[in-house]
Amino acid sequence: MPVLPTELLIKVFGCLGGCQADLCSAALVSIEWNLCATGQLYRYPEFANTIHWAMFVQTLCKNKEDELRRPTSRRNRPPIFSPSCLLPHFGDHPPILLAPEQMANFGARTHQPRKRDRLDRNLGEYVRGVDLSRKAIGASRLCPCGRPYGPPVAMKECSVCVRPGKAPPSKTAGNTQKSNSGVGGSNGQSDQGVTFIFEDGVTDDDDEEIEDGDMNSLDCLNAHHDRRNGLTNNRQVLRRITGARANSAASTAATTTSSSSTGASVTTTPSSTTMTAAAAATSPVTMARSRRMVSGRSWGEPVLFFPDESSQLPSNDTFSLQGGAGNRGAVSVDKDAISTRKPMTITVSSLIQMARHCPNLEWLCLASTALADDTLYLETGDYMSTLQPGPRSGLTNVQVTVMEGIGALGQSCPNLGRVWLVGCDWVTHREVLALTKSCRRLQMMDVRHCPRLEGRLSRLYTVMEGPVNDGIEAVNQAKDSDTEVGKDIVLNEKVATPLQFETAPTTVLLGANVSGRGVRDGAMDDLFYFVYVTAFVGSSGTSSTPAGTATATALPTTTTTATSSSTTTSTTTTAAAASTSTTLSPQAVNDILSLLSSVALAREAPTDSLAFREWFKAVQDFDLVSYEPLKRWKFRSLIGCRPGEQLNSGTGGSGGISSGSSSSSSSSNSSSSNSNSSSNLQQYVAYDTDSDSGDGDGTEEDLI
Amino acid sequence: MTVILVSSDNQDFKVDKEVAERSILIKNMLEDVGESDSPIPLPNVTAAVLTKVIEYCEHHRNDPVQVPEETDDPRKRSNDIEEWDMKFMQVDHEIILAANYLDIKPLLDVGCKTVANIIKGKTPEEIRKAFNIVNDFTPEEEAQIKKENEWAEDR
Repeated sequence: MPVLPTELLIKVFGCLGGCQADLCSAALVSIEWNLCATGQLYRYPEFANTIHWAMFVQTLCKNKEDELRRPTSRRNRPPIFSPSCLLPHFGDHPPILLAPEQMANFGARTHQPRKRDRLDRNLGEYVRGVDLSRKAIGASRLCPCGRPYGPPVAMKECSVCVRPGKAPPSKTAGNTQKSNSGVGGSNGQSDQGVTFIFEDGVTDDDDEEIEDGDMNSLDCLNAHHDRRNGLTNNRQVLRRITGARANSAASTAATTTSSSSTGASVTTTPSSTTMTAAAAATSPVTMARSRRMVSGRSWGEPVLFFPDESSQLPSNDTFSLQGGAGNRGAVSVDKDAISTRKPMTITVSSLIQMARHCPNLEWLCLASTALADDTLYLETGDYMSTLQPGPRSGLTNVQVTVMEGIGALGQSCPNLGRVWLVGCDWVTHREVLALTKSCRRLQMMDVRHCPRLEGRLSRLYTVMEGPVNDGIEAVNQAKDSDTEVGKDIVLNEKVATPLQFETAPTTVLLGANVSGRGVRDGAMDDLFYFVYVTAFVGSSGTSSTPAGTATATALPTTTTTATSSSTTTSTTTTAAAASTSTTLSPQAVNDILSLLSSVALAREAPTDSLAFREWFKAVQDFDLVSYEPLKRWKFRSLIGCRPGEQLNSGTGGSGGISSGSSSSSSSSNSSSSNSNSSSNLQQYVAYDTDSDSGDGDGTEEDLI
Repeated sequence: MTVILVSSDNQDFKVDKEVAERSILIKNMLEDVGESDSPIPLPNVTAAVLTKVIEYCEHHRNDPVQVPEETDDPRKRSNDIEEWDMKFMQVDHEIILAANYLDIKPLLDVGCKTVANIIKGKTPEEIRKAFNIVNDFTPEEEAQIKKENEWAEDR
């Protein structure tokens, strides 16, 4: 066996990316190997749990401290490129091929550190991307286009497919299964944070099973395994979505019962989430509603996800049917949702420390994490969470909040370009704004499924280039006329602060609750989505015409439908590309219209801008899974009468009336989100009581 | 048109130019030298290895030239090796060195993936044995590294 030169070792370890255990072993082989493996190991670290994250941060800090303490020796390092290889005879390796990798590995130094010195390196410099979402370590899934997903695992789409303007290889025929599996992956991660709430009280030992399942998928090479994997993914998605329904029902309950707890209902600790669930249980309306959602989902979805796997249907259905019958809740039903995991709880201080030590950080995935504030002891400089004995007296306590964490990210990680905040409870519009302001290179921020970024606040932040001369990009808060109150809130909160991005052409972000409702309700939940909006110079800075609003609002819908439909993989890209037009030209409207109709709604839409707006509002009430109007739920008896069904709809109806009155009283307290949720509820109640005309009326009222 | 390659142990290999140009090194040299019949010396490659490399190039002569991928995908999968390549690589790892030297990127990729697969699932001791590497850590260093990388363990 020949001795592999450094550059080849680095390349070999590059192939091991994602297999942390193997890289660990490699790092322990010899010094030479350690030097090469460590860089790869720290490049995209993944963590099994919070403790490992803490160890990681500790390692980073310790190494930096060591370096600071020790007088930095002028290290005499042999260059990688020995002069001999520059001589005309082709003496040595031509490492030109691998030079970039080598440069990256040794921190852009052309000199390789001397052997003994190198164990004292600053490990944080290696870190390029940190993924704190709860994905199983080593899980490798395939994008529909056949490529592995890139480092941003939360994205669950490979960089090729996602890139706008580059159509993925669409093998439509006979490829449904494959694309399904890809979509399963893409939905799964982002939905995890949604479902966990209901698991906390139920079962805690899920992790092992998931780990195994994902490890399986890592090794499966042949088509059969791939297919199986895709199936499990799909089922996971199904479960998660049902969980999401129940969850949204829970938040509805919280909104209904106590108007003040709207924001507070979503908290980070398991105990309080259980409280939320309890709140859901107290309200018969939401009980009925969540049950209906679960049941409605259970037969709406398999049709879509398992078009060719009807054998899968029975198992899923029975599971959901039990839920409907058991009706104690959609809550306990989701015990089956073992595919999700508890979120990691991260202290802000650890985030700050990580940021300080990782100057090269390029992306950060905090998907479905819980971020906990911390306390800094001013005298010692220690954080409370890192000290064992707990709170100390006699020291000055300084509260460290999420904001400071974000500030540290902006300060210490100048290259931070992509941030995933999918499903984070702690994200509000303030955090979003702070991030966009402090991270100057930010290109993308994914804020889907953030429960507190709800309602109109999260509507659509479209970052656009301002009029050419002032060069300031203005945040255009997409608004529509039926959301006066929401608009006011937005203005009061100064969401419309101008953002300045260093890199102009690519920008950002988006999460949108297009439904504009105060709560995350059922199908509308799917509308939380992100879009790339590429701003372009010369577009009108602000959009005030109704048509424009409708267009902007339409964007997330297209993307969502594209993803959840999962039949055409290329549509995501198309949607992203189409979303580049943030102006309100009729052309753009037409584009989106054609997209919409091609993707989801085979239905004529008016091209007139005003009519389009009305139409779009109607579209919003479509079930994004089945692409049917929501009121089709009244046909649920089609799948057979279930025990408890009638009872539930009865309670749902009566409860709906009472809740309607109660929330109308609460809405007089000038809380806009409450009024939204109440009308929302009424609408659902109308569905529940199966009154057709009620349906239509409710919808109309809701929309206009 | 054929090119004559001379291995380090002075064996001549007559190869089609098209085949030889799978190697970027040779391609560049040919471009620099221009039309000439002079043999190309490859002092870093033994005859045995060169035979294998040529076999690889012959087998892949019709492959499209790889476009450098601009995606910086760090998780290159190490299990998507073609079957033929897999069998091919089982023979000798000196081919990797030759591929690096001759600048044949596809062959290098395959080689690195093969090595990565060998490493996979092995303990450090097993890796040392497989690659014939001497453990040059001091016990303290080994402990330090173990502690540093503790976070990376699976659970």
